[in-house]
Amino acid sequence: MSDVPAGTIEATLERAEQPGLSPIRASWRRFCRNRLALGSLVILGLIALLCFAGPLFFPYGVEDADFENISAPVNLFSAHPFGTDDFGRDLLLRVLDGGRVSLAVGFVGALAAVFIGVIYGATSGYVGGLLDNVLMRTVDVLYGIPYFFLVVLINLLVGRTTAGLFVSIVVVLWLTPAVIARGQAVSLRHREFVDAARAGGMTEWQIILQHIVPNSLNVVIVYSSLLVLEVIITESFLSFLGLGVQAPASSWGSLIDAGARSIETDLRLLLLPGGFLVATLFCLNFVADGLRDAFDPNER
Amino acid sequence: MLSTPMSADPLGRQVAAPILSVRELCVDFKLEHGIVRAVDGVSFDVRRGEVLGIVGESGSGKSQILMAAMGLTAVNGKCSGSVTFEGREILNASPEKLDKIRGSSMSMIFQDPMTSLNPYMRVQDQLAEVLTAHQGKSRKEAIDIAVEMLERVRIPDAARRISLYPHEFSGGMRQRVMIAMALLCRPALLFADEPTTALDVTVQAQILDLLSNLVRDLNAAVVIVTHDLGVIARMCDRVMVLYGGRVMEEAAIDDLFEAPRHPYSQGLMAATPRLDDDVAHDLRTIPGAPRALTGKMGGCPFAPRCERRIERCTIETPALLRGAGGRAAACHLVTP
Amino acid sequence: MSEALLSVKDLKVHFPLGKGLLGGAGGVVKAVDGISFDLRPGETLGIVGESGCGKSTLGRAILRLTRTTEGQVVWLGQDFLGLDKNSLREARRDLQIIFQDPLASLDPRMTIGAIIARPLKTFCPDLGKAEIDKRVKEAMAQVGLAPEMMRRYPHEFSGGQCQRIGIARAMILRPKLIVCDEPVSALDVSIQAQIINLLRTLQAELGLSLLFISHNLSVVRHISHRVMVLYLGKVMEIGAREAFYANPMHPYSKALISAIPLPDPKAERARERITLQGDLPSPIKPPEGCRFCTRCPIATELCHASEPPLSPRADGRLVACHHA
Repeated sequence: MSDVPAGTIEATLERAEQPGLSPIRASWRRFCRNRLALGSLVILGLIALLCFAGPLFFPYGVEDADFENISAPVNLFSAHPFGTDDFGRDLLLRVLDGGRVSLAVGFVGALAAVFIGVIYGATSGYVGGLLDNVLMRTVDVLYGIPYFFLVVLINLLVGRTTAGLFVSIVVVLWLTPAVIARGQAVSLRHREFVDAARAGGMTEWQIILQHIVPNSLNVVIVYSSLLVLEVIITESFLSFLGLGVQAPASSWGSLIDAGARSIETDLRLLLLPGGFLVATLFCLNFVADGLRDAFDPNER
Repeated sequence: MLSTPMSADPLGRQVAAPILSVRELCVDFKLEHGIVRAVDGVSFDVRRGEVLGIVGESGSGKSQILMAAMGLTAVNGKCSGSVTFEGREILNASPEKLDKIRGSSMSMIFQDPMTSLNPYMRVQDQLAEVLTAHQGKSRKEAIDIAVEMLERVRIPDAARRISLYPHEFSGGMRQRVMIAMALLCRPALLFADEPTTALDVTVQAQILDLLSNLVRDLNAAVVIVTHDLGVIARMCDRVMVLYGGRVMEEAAIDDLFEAPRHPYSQGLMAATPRLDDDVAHDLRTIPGAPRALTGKMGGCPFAPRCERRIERCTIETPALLRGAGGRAAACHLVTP
Repeated sequence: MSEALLSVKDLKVHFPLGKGLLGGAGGVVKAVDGISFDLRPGETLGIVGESGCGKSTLGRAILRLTRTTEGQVVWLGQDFLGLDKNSLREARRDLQIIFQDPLASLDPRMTIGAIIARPLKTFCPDLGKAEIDKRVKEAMAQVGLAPEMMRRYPHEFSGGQCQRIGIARAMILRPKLIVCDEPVSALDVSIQAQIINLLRTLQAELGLSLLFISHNLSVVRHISHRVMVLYLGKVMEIGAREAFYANPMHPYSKALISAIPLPDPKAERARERITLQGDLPSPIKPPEGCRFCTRCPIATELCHASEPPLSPRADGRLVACHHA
């Protein structure tokens, strides 16, 4: 082409071959520069590893009672390093096992809630019009139903199982991601690249999946990290109230509940699960903070 | 008693001393990936009654010159060099000292009238504030003067409209309010940063007319920053062409438009579509893109895009040489 | 006209103000209010006007990116606005758009290779990866981008380069018409000239038709064969470029041309200017009679009373004025 200014090509050619830095990877690099967040992520990984892999190294199961060592005190060099409860069950093992439930419900619950919420919200915001109105008013109605009423209702329907707990958490928590994703979609719908895609003959579904959802990811990633925190707290809270995980299964919440009942006699029962919960929540908070700094386009 | 100190111009005539003198002004910004020099050794003078135009593309640092003089450089920026207003150094001056000058003897019109007016305050309060703060006028007096000023910028029904909020004005009217605000204290020096870029052509024409009349009445010194050569040709007496933070060429307005000497000025003029040029042929272009803000580079900032580049251009930064008739150019191949 | 590629007939786009679940009271913004024109193959029509005149809405309505209230768009002899989903998709192959903000029109999460390939993948899903790659590289070379840069992301490019990417994306399907919505107004002067030249060259080589929407009359003069002036959603004047710029007939066209500051101080001083008074009226309550009557220097009683029709003049121009 005669028109092509030579300088344009020359100037950029030196670096041209290497692939560019995608926004996601650029954000990840920013995240990695945040030591506190990265450290928290590592600790979080260790806690998760401990909870999921740790119990495999114990010679006995969670429910196995050691009748010779009932309410054994902390002795790091014994068979029960953190002692046993009043049934003779190993405390550390119970806490790790409870962590498994808490973390699983936290991450899977948050993921499910975000997934449902984002698809729902993105569709509503992108399509707009009557559908948007109907979908979002439905969300408003669900917001209006008292939280506990909903949980008790689902408990009655599904039964007081871990699955029931999981469902009730997701049912309550998908609403906020839906509202956030809708906001994103509404602002994205008016962006010119979406118009370009429509003029380019893409169908509405293709546009939602290829343009709207990926571009909402920033907000979604930041929000899901906060949601994991919320789900874990909710689960613990419900279990503490006796609405969640039922004995003999345990989670950090139910363990804290049990520990609180013997707060005057044996503080360990409260401190160990409590300590794990607090450490996890702290780490999640720092990670969420780091993600927000790294991903939120408004901060740049 | 002599009113203004005198000095000699390059031709030896006695002229009024400049009201604003900028010497070797540099503005550096600290960014994520290092330090970027937005303005690199810019010097100029402006006298009362004179309109200086600064023209340049994005990244030329044109707005940053005004920001530095007004003490409005962003927090990550650092200014060095010297800016004197009526003989007093104002670069990096304390906010207290600047506040005395800003708004009373030196003021600024911004590009976007919507963002530079407070949306939650009535226009009368914003205008009156300037007068009560700087001249100790009572509120009643201040509003009377403000109404008078709005009438001078030809806002119809000013006495009633002054109690409206900024969003109740149209774009052109808002820019008039901004101009009225800038001129309220009869400043000796007025900065205008792209004053008509956000406006439609017919409204731009009104605002330019208005501005040139008001400026003549006040006998103020004016610095207009713009990317539009048309606005420069319409408003200015003298023009400075900026590229990559450095002055490429400086000349009286007629001289520059008649015979631009620097390759960049020439390229800029040839690339500007006009109403009277030949449309059978393509426009002349300047290859490449405007300099992205990067660290300090050796050589002429325009060298990467210059068609007449020689080896020396990429090694040695050409100095701004002054020649006859107040012309100056910074190019190894051009004598001013 | 039978040979017209695109024929717009009495197109109206009205936006109701204030909407919600229960609907809202309030007026209607008549963004486009009865516009008709024809576009021939290989022709560039410049659409000019100030903000709020409906020029962008018109471009988007023609592409069905905005719902139209009334009127017809005839594309290659078929009723474009009445097409069903599938035929519309098929027709869109030949109709593309270039936007004002070059960066905003590119998805920040896609590499530019993927962005340019997108329309190809949509319309020719059977093409192999190698063939797509080849066509993308050809398109990039055609608009002056180094094909090696296809794995990079939009934020790594300057405004002018982003606009070239947008043009490559619009060109890759070899469309018959491209709507250019203020394609150079966000660019620096030196880059603006590059893009104008590029569009001119592409048009000449490929026989494209362009609808070139701009507020800048000097730019439009460099690229258009015909010029259409809009004011508050109505056509004021349509005419061939030479005749229009040599002798604008409508008082609004005259004022527009006269308002442009010339980059020439001597001509600027010598020139007699028509400065319009007042601002653009609100498009919610346009003036009675001629839309322009509130700011027109030659308006009479007649102009306030009745709206002048768009009527043909001696040199084939159409002008909507009682007095021109």
